[in-house]
Amino acid sequence: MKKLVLLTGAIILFASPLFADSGYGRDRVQIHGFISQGYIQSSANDFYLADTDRGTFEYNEMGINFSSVISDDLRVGVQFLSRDLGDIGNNEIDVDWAYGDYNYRNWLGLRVGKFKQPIALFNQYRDIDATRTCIFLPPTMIYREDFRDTNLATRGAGIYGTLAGGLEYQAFYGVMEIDDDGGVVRVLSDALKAQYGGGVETDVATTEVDPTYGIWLNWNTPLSGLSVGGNYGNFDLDLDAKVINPVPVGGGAYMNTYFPLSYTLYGDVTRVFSQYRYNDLMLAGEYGWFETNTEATGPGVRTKAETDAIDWYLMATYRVSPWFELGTYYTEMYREEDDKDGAIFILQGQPREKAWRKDWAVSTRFDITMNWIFKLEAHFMDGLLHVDYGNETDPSDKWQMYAAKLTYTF
Amino acid sequence: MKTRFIRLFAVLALLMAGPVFADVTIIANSGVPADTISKMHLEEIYLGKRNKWPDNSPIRYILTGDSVVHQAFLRIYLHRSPTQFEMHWRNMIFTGQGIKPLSLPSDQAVIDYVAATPGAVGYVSAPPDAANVKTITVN
Repeated sequence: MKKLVLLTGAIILFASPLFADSGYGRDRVQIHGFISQGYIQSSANDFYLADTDRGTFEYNEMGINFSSVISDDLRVGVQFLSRDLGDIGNNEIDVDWAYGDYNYRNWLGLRVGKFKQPIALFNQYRDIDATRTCIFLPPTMIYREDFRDTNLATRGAGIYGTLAGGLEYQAFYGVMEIDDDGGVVRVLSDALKAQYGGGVETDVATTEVDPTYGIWLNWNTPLSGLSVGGNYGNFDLDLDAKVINPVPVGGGAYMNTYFPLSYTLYGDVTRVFSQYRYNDLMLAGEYGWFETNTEATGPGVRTKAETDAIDWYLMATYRVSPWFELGTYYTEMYREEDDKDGAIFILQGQPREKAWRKDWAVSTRFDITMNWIFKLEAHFMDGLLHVDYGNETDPSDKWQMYAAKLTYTF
Repeated sequence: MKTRFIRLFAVLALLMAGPVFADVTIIANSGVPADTISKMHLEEIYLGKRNKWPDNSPIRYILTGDSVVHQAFLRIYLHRSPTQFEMHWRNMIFTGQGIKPLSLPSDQAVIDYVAATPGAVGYVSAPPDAANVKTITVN
């Protein structure tokens, strides 16, 4: 809490006229920051690990960064970030990114430290609410908010460059940060509770994260404003889980029994994407494959599972006036490419709608000033993939979610 | 509901081709090792993706605070609105990928900066008659 107050104080201090954004010269430290507060309400179900069914203000973000040009080729910077979304983040302050960037040639630059992973069109920029029309990016496998802390950054080294003919590339090798309070651990914990039922508790912790790598390519075509690209990346991590099962021993007393599980998760992420910009219009689309192999071992337990998830979306935004922008997107996501109708869930006695989620979103953005932005957004959902519907036996599979967000940026 | 939004976007798309009300001239310091530049390279420079001239000397690109010239430059050469350009640079700033270039208040301030700064490139409303400054042809 004390750190959060300090971060908030720093944002207020540096956002004051004394440190106002009066110019962008070299050979000086630039300081920028943002602070936002949101509200989410859904007509049914809980989403993003937050209590959206009842409406929640547990959705905020704040960050401040310091950057400096050391020489014509070398730049350094650091950004601190605090965020809260339901059970995730809880406004702890993290180093969002911190790296040195050496630009050797136009075709070769080197980044060392903690930096944003180049995945798809928007992963590197997803923390920056002020640069997009929507509040929530299309909730695909990559942009799902509960994995945001995991997907976002890597500690390691990366290269980048702009080649002839408008081809850009980025590649990286490093280690993802899997926070034991983060989305991956929380999702696994919830899955175990659902699997074993009966009021079990879980204790999940990351034990090992193997290095990951990825490559990202983007071609700015001769048709100005049109780009096409793709990326590939993978991850490999081990987690230890302890399932705690309270067993009644009579007299209203319970005795906890434990059994350990070891998890290995391996995943491949492949995406293709395209974007078109023409003055105030922006069109974008992505198609992605997300293959995972999961192996769980424990006393008397040895299970393997493979999933081949797919997702896609189309997005359009238009700046109607200097202060108003409209946006919309439609996305579909399937847990298993070969089981879009959810037959496996029917066999398991679960709602078949867990196999997919379709989301049509409409966004409005109001630029009150250069620094203040207000957004309103509606989502019309079909399906229950990645949705928490509690103990409902007949959950609502057609539901809506509404969000509002106010952001200050400097 | 969906049909309404499709119609709305269609109308907006028809309205988007707004007129450009100003001429724009690209200028550079006379020591810059190029007299012509491709439109793609100029776009890459102003989006922070190309930082060096062909001889590997640093490019120092400059913005103008003259909103008419700035808007015309962005629409002609970058096909972006000032807001989109601002959003791009916020993305760069908040991911540590770049530091936004300096913005100067007038044509004359841009010309003076370009004349005094090796590797500088900028844009103004008319070809200048100034020492140490040359006009760059965009092809």
